[in-house]
Amino acid sequence: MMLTAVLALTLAGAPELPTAPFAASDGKTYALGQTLAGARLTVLVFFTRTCPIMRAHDERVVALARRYAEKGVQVLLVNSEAEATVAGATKDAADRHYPFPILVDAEGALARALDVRFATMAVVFDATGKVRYRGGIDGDKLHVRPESPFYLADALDALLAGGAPKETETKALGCILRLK
Amino acid sequence: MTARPFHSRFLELLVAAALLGPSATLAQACCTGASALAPARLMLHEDALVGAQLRPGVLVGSWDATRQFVASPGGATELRFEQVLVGSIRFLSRGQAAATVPFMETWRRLSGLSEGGGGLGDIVLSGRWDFVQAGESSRFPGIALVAGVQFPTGRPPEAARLPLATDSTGAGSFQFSAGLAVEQSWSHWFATGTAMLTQAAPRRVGTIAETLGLQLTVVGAAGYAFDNEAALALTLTYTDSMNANVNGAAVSGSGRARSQVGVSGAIPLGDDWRLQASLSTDVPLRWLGRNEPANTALTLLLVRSWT
Repeated sequence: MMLTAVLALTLAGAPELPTAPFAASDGKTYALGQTLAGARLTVLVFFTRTCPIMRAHDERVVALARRYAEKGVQVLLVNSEAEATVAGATKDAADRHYPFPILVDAEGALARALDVRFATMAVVFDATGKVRYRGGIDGDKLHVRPESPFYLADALDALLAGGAPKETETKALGCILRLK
Repeated sequence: MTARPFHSRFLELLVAAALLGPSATLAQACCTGASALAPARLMLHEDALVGAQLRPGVLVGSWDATRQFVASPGGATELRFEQVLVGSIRFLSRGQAAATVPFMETWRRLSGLSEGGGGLGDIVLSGRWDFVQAGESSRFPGIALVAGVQFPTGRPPEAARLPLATDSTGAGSFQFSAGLAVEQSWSHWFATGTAMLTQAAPRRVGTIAETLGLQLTVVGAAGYAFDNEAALALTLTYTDSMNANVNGAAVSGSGRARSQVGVSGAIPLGDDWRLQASLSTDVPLRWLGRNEPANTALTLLLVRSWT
């Protein structure tokens, strides 16, 4: 019951996010408040370079980003691991042909603020900074199946239609984040 | 003092594996590597699992009280075949509880006699609490408390009905274990170390009251997790126990020890199934054991998990 209450609070309000801007793989810096306000919805997907589950979901995340871009949804990856660097993020984004930047959160401030412990965890914000969905990209780990529930896409569809996601909190099945 | 049967040592190692089973964490703890060594351990995100394990083994000799290794004499043979059902369930995110139910068959030939027997062994309930999960912190390794109880559900040696006691399947007393496990990963490599203490409850055989000595088990393992999600690890296990106590007095020279080396591996079969295997053997060298049988065994385990 307490957990449910905590989750409800998390989803109902706007979490206190780090105010310092994050350097990113595209050479820019991203101040979260400003970044979130600039899109109808923003998806943060927590990333680690060596996680095979993240790698298994690369194609699906890229497809999702392209599919929803014209609907006002921006996708950003976040590397919150202790060894994250801009140079590494730049290389990863290029090597993996990401059409979106990887934000570098080497202090783990963003992961902690959002209570994110696993890679592939996705957090969806509206333009006011409220969290509208947090959880897995889908129901898969290493073997991505077409028939698997696509939680993140379902949440975006519901939010873009003006409603609330059927499931606002799901399990993210990715690798554990090694935070500083 | 009642002789300790081979299978009770197997059960202890089973307990150790269930409790200590190092988690072969990948660069990111997530995948099959975490299950390479532990038969009943839940991997990250898994809420429950069940498994069926087969373990054929052969007795190769024994150590005496002076730590001298003696190979099995010609004409003496002991083969074992164990089947173990395992199940685990997660609680409160960082905790997991497991049960192992062994069934064992033994075929023994000695001095012109040969016979086979078996039955239900000693059931083990164990638990694990991960204070820090491996890979979670850049400053600390994974740290877990492990504990377990072995129930005397098998047939103890003194209750055996067959001449060569092949129907003996249990240790005959409760055994309580507790320990600490640490583990860490570096890119694809991982390492782990665990120490556990086991104390058997007193037992009575006729007019004899016996309590086995406190036992220390230390397990070290190191391995590699491949990109194709398979994992391979080398394990070293050393156990040493104090003298047993009989009718209130410690029996000099009754302490036990053994050293094992093994290689373990795991292969995922989709997201919900995995196959684990290990080959382990006691190291048949002087000083590496005492008052213990030595055996070589192959273990195969098929696991179905739920996330």
